[in-house]
Amino acid sequence: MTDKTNTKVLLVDDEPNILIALEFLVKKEGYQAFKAENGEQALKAMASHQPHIVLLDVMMPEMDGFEVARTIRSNPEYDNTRIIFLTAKGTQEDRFKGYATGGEVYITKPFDNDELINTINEVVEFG
Amino acid sequence: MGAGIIIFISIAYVAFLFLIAYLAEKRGKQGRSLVNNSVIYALSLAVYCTAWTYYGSVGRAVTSGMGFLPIYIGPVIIAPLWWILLKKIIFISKSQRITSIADFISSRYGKSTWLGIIATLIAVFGIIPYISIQLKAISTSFDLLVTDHTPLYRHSEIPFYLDSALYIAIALAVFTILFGTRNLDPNERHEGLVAAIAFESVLKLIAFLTVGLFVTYWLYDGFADLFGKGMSTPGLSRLFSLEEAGINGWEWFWLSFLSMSAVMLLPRQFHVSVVENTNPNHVGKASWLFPLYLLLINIFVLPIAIAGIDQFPGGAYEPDSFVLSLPLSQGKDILALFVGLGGFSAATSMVIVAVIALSIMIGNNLVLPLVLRTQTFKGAQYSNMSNRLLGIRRISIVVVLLLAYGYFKAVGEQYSLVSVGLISFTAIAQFAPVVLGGIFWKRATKAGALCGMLAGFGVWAYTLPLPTMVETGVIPIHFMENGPFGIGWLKPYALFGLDGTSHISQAAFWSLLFNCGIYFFVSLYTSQSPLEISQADLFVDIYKYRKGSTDYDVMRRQAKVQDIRILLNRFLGEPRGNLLLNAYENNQRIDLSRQQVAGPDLINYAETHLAGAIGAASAKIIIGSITKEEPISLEEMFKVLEQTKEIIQYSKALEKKSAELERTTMQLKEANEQLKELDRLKANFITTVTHELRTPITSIKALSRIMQETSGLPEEQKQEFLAIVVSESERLTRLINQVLDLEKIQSNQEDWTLQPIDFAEVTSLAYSGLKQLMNDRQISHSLSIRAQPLIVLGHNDRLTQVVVNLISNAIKFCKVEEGVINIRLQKTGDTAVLEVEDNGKGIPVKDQKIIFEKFTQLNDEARGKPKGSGLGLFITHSIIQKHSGNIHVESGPENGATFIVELPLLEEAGGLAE
Amino acid sequence: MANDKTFKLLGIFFLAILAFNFPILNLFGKEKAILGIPVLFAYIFLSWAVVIFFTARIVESKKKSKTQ
Repeated sequence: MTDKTNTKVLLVDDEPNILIALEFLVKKEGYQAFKAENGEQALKAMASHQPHIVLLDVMMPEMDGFEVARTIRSNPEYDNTRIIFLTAKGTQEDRFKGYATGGEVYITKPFDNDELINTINEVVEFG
Repeated sequence: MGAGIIIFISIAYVAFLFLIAYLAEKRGKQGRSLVNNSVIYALSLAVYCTAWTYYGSVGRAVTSGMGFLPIYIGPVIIAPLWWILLKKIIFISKSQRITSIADFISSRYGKSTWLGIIATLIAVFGIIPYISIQLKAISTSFDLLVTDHTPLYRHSEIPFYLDSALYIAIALAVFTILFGTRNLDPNERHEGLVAAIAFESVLKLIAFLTVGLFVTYWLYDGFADLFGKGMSTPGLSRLFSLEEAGINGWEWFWLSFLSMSAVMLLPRQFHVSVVENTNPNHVGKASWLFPLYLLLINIFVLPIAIAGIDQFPGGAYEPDSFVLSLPLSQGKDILALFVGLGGFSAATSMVIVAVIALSIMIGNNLVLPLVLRTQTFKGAQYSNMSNRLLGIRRISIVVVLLLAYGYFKAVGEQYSLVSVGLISFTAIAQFAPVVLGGIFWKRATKAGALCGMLAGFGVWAYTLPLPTMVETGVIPIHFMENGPFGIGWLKPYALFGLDGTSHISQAAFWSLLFNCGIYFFVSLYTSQSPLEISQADLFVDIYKYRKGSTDYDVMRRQAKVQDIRILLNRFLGEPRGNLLLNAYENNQRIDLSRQQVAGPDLINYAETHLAGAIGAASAKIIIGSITKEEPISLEEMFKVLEQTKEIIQYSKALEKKSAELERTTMQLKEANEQLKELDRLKANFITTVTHELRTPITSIKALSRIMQETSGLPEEQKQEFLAIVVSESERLTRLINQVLDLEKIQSNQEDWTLQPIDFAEVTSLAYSGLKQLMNDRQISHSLSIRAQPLIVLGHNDRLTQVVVNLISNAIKFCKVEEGVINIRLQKTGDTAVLEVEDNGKGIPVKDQKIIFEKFTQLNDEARGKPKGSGLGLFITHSIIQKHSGNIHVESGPENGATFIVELPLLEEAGGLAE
Repeated sequence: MANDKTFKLLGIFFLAILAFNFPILNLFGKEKAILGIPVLFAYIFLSWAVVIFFTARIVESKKKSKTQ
């Protein structure tokens, strides 16, 4: 069993209100949470915090979620980092694109709080 | 010499010929054909050399020196082309089972019965004078051999029952019947006949060379001696110059031209060279062996002529019989007899082949079609048709020979062999245009061929045989001298005033001119039936069809298998009919006894084989009597059309059709593209709207759940979450309103009555409404209105919405700190111009147009995601359009953006706004 | 079908037309004789032989190459 308090989760979304909700949920479960409002901030946070999990919104200005994921995957340092996509689009095409760029799981907005946490737990536990 | 000996020798000779024919046929049946040999083939072509050559050439040389030669020069000129022309004709004829030149012509032009009849009549009437001169030659030589001198009587003056020529004609008829009509061969091939003809060709050549050598080297001391005598004799030297012998270039040209066509198109030449051909490759050797044969048989003609003149200065003998009288006068009776036999063989070979060829034509293309037209052949009344066919042939052989005898008795005697022969050549030349055109020009039509041949034949009949009737008293003499009804330019020997040339060349010129011209122009102005089109295609492109692809059926025909069996048995005899059907079954691997209905394939098979026995036109009629013809389907018609692109009117129509089709296809493509684009936009719209709806819902749902499920949530945090929920709900409402708004504008549901309003007032009202917001965000802002009022025709609320939208946008996108928004309103010409400038990131040039499209700006990542539906600018754009104005954006990178709205000003209507 | 052979044979055909027609023929109608043979007579029969010779060469040569 992984120690949750030592597990870092990076939350990336351009909607501050969604970030507030996500942060509350993740922290309540016992994880460490970090926030980023766009791709650039996300990559910075990756470097400074080395998170285990990245909860990544797909549709963001400047640099979208797929691109962020590709960048993360191209860096061998982050090989152990797991990516969970969050998206409001949820089309089949996007889902495949998500897997192709290195995401493990795909969660559609609006999400169910319990489901989200369960998913994170599973990813943390089983890699 | 006694007549009895001569008759006996003649009969013995003929019996020997029969022996040869019998042996040849026997060997042929054993599969060791004598005739399948290119030398025999070339020798059989030498049936071209008749009594005309044998006796007549010397006669002609006596009066015009080398003038006898064009008749052989023509074939020598054309022979190199046989490899191209004759071979093609042979291929066509074999594939179509053609049995005669008339059949060839009829077949080419849609298997036309009428064309076959006309061609047969031309051939028969054209050849009768030719046959008559053979009778004349045989009887003259007979007389000469018996009496040793030219008889004092004329054949026309003695009663027919005492006339040797009549008995010769009858004897020839018997020979011919025995040779040519013993059985009915579907391919009209007579191996025995060919062998006999080849033998006769050898005999006549040896006999002529013998007499030539006798005269030149026994009587005289070789060529130089003879020619020396000739050149030193006054009046004879002219024979060595064409001009002085009365031959000019025009004359020479026409004679060689006529003989060119004769050597290929004379019925007997067509018969031996095409119908009796066993292997098309034999043509190669024949194309130089035959000219060689001609060279040999001609080389002694001039020496013999000079010798004859030299020996008989008083004209004791007719020049046409010098060949015989020279040895006779020297007392060389045996030699004379041999020479006479050579002449006999020359004449008989011609008569036999020519009459057989004519009888095939008469039977297949003249009598049968006429008989067939009058009855249907489903019943049993025509049992044993093949015997009837042979009967028809036998009768026609007798009739043709009697006609020839009649012509000989009436007119033939007054004219030399050559001049009568040339009449026939000119008649046969009338086939040249339709045959040549037929194998090279697809567009040539039946009507063209019919009219051309009839015109040529008419002119021929008028200018050549008609005048020969004058002597018999049928035609009054003044007709010749003054023309019919005294019309000078219709004189037969000087038609249209063409005078000063020989009768033959003027007749050849006019008849062929009319023939070709009419053939050509009528063909151009008439159209072809489907059958003509397909036949034309088969003839012209024979090599294409030989290479694999079988011919297409123009007619889709059906018949009962039983009817076909009956027909084949009736016309070809039961053994052969069964053989053919068995062969077909084996070939196609089918069992005909299990089939009721025969398809087009079997019908064509039966028709081609029947055509071999009775000619193409007759076969078509007979087959027609048992078949149901379905009209050609459109699809098949197109197939035919495709293959005959020369049919201009059709292909033009097709072109037009295909152009129309192309246009329609293009339009469909465009429509399809538009639909696809609409589809794409719609899909885009839906995903975007979905996204825009889901985003606020996500926050609302997640936070509400947290509040619901988390007990003991600090009040402060609860308040924060509730505030977010409220604001996100408002966002949701806004979005829904905008979508509805857009729907309203686009579907014209709203009342769009435009009224004159002051745009300046609208602008300043909207500006003051947003002032507070800008102040709150610490954005420095300004409004400058440089002209007022600016009356436009507009919708007050909507224009207000435009200004509010633009300013809201500017607020959204200008720099977060030190934001600047400048609004300017002015009048330029007769438009009101509103500019809203921010100092945000600006809009890349490539996006400056699409941001006004529905939702596109939402995906515009470079500009940053708008906090809203993204429908704002699209709505703005739509409203401006409804006001006949336009909106665009000017922006450089990092320079901020300026949205510019232009609205047309109302005519200065006297300050309505006041 | 237009091959080499066809063109050669066409060539002979046209040359023969020229050789055996006026005005060429008329050049020889001058009563003169070579070795006792009238020029016109010699010319015609020699040209005749030439035509035979070349036709034979073309036609027969092709046969050989055909059987290859």
